[in-house]
Amino acid sequence: MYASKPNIDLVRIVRLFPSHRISSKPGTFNIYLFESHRPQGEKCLQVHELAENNQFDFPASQGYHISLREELILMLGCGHIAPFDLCEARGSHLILESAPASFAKLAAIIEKVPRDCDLDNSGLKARMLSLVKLLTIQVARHHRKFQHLAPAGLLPFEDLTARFVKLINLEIYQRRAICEYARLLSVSRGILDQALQTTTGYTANRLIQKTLVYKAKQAAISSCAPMKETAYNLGFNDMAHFSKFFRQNAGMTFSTFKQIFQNG
Amino acid sequence: MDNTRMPQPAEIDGFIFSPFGKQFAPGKSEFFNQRNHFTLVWISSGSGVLFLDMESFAIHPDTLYCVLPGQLYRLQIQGEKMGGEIHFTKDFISGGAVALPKALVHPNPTGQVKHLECQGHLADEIADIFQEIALEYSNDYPSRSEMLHGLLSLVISHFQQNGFPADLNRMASNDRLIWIRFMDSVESNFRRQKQVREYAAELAVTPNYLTEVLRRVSGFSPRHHIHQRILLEAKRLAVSSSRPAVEIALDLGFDNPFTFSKFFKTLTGSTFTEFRKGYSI
Repeated sequence: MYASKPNIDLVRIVRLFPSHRISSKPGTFNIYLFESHRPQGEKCLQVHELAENNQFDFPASQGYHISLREELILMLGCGHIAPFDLCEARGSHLILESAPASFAKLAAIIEKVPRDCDLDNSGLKARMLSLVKLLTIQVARHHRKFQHLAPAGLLPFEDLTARFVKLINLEIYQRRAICEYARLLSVSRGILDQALQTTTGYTANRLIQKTLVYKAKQAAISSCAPMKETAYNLGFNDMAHFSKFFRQNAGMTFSTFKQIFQNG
Repeated sequence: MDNTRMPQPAEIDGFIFSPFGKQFAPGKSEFFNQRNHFTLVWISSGSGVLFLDMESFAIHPDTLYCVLPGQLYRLQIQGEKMGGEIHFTKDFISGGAVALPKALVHPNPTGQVKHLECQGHLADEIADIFQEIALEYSNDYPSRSEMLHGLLSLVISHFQQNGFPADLNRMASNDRLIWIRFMDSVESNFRRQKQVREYAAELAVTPNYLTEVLRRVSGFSPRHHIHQRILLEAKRLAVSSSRPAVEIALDLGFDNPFTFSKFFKTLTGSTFTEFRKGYSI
């Protein structure tokens, strides 16, 4: 039906071996599951969201690396669950320790996910999607448990970032100048910039842009709303502007995106 | 049937799980006619009879049965029962905009029962998933409904993998589209709209073309399908309720009860009352 449907890796699963070099693509969530971690020799689970092409050497033993596209999280309807949601300060490295039993459970799910699956086979695709969903929720539950144990007091900059992210995540977005946001948060523009830079590594504008793209993608995947409505809700008055904005940031047009990721 | 087997944490919109337990009174059974719910029945031990739309099917262990919305069904199981029933709505599984999984698209709800026989490895996996569902359903973990959705989609994906509906894929795409749209439209409009002409207009084709396509695809005319759908509903109401024929006739969109009895007699060969008596328990 779609002759020019580009081949897109929604999920990539790699078995890791000791001193494996890990590379990850931008715009993906990366879940690492290690059988043992060097300092304590404990089982360990990590989630990263990476902005740029990155490579690292993990001092790891055997394990798994699962990389999920941001769109996949939206397709699964897990976009509101921490740590895969937008409110979380992105790019942060979360280290979660997990008990051996739950490690085995996660590994069992991962083993079941069909590899190199042919997305034309709707049954296999459905199986892959639902297994990844289970995995995602399990990881999120571990994350919750870990957060519960973590010290509650946020650093002042992190708190400010969180409040800023909340503010730009309001249901219907209205375009505002950065200094207006700073005023709403009762800080000066300079402090806001500094806070965002240190905690997320992005400028305020870039963060707003990312949020808009994310929300546009979310609307494209999980609703039937036409592009016009989406554009309006995101504060774009000019359709052409939105169309261009989306194409530049998501790498394809709104309608192609809708066709590919709306799970039919 | 009492569904309150254990204290439930919270209701989930469009999802009910009821495990077969010892409390399940043997022999006691009722008809279910849920307009909006799909039902998945999994039995890992025990045997019995599934009564579906006036027909009976023997139930075998390690089999997954799928009952479509609107179908009338009754389950009678003997022996030690293991397994459970899941009722879920279309909205629960499709989550708003996303299309229904292909396995659950049902252009012809009068067809045979959809079932999946599982052996060995597959049976173990499905039994595991049902256990997991039972665990999730009775506990209040975070993201509970997402988890249940994931587990349910996993079960459904097995239906899909095992290749049905196969016959849908063989049709020419335009025929398929018309067939599915026509049957959907009949499903939702048969009470008030009985003319082939109106259905054709809705699909933006001529009545003759609609007839041609349906004959090619199913071997029957659109009129036949509409009549069969009305008849099926009449039978379902006859068996599952004790409402008088006049009321049922009005419910099905007949202005005159006599037209209804004539319609029923012509299509089935017996009168409405005779039919009902034949199924009274």
